[in-house]
Amino acid sequence: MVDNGRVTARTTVFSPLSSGGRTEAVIQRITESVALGLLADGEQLPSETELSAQLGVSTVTLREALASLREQGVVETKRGRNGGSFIRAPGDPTKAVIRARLAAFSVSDLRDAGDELASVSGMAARLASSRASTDNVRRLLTLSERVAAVSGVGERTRADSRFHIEVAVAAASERLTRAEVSLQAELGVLLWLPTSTEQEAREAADQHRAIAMAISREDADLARQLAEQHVERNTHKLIEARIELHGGGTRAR
Amino acid sequence: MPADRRPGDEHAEAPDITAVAEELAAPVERVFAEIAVIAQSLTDVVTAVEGRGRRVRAADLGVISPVADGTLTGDGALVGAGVVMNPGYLEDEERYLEWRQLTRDGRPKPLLLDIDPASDDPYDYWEMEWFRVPRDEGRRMVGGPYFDYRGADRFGLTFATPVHSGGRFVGVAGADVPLAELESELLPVLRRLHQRAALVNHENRVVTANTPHYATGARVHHGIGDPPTDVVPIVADLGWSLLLTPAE
Repeated sequence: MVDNGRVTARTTVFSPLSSGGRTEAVIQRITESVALGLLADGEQLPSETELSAQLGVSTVTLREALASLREQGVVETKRGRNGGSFIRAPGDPTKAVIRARLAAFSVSDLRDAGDELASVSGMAARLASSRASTDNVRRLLTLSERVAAVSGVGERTRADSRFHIEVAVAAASERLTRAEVSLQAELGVLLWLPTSTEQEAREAADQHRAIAMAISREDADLARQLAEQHVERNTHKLIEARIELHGGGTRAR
Repeated sequence: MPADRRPGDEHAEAPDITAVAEELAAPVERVFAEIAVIAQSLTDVVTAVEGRGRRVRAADLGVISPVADGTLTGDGALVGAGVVMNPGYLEDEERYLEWRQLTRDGRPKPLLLDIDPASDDPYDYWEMEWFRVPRDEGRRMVGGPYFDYRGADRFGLTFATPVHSGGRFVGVAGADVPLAELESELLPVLRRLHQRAALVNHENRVVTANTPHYATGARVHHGIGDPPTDVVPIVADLGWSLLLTPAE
């Protein structure tokens, strides 16, 4: 089952797309999954027939999507007996790349996306307080610390996102989990920069830990409040960074 | 039967709780009966290979796949099945699972997971309760209900039973069952009860209930007395029970 002992496809990545299958949706699903590390560098994608069946799209749509992903350098296709499509995860993005991603959002876009993330994350934390299994709580406590234990943009981004996705998993909600994955892929990848400090990572880990503790103590109101505040602080940071992209002027807080 | 009911009052008669308990346990036992076939297949492999004087390798487990597929393509509710090996048991792979999963179009295929402990975020089955409990306590176990987003990608339950050889823990044979499947069997039974009823797992988390007051997956705190709650064991060794509360 494992080609070379290394493996892996995360099945959530290949589950059917919700409404019809469009090329953009396939591209987005795969790009998101690579950004969050759900698909790792060098990982082989299932065959075109299998993948199109799993995603619920036609092979024509899938081929279009793969062609575009190849152009973006996210997927590499090798021919021959050991051929197939492989993930080419980009190295850690530079500050310029992350700033360019941020520039694609307007300030009001960021506010809107931040509101959605706060509502999903807040609700997930509230529900997790009454639904988390012992296994969920154990994993949440482990993941809460990770953002401070790792270094580098890619690892920090993935550690941060994994914690938030796990809160939704602990809420026993498939839909909230999918929403959280998608929002983390959109916003989570903007949060950490090569210039981010240990101190910032420590603060994030402390906030994660507080959320995890509230969930483990079954304090639904506190868990929700802490999760919302955490998202609001992050959104605030992103909006501040976005405003500064306009250059000139002085910083008004 | 409530004390104020008289014999002959058949129409309002509460159903026999023993019969209900048996019917609720039946689907669980049926899944474990399917798993027993897979467990036997693993035992056979281990016995044969070790009988020849060598250790079991990952490739030896290939014969289990068709057996697992057989449990998936029957009319049961299983969407995934196979064996998950105790780390260190195999000669060539430290960690390994031979696990089959139904694709959305109904064909079985291998479930591929990142189980490398050195990787960023491995699927650490050796930490999960459906593996831990059979390993540490030598008894069968049902994990969940949970959304297994890194594995089966379903909201459901993982059933597992330990396999031993010569006193050593080999691994578990197991199966994934979507909660929706189990619910469709359990609800008609729960509907016959005249009280609020919730089937809960060992953590007192709701598997299925006949009322929205008990949300699937939510932990139920039932104190003594108010409201008075009866606890009826359903599958005692799994810690599954039925909570009964008078409707308001």
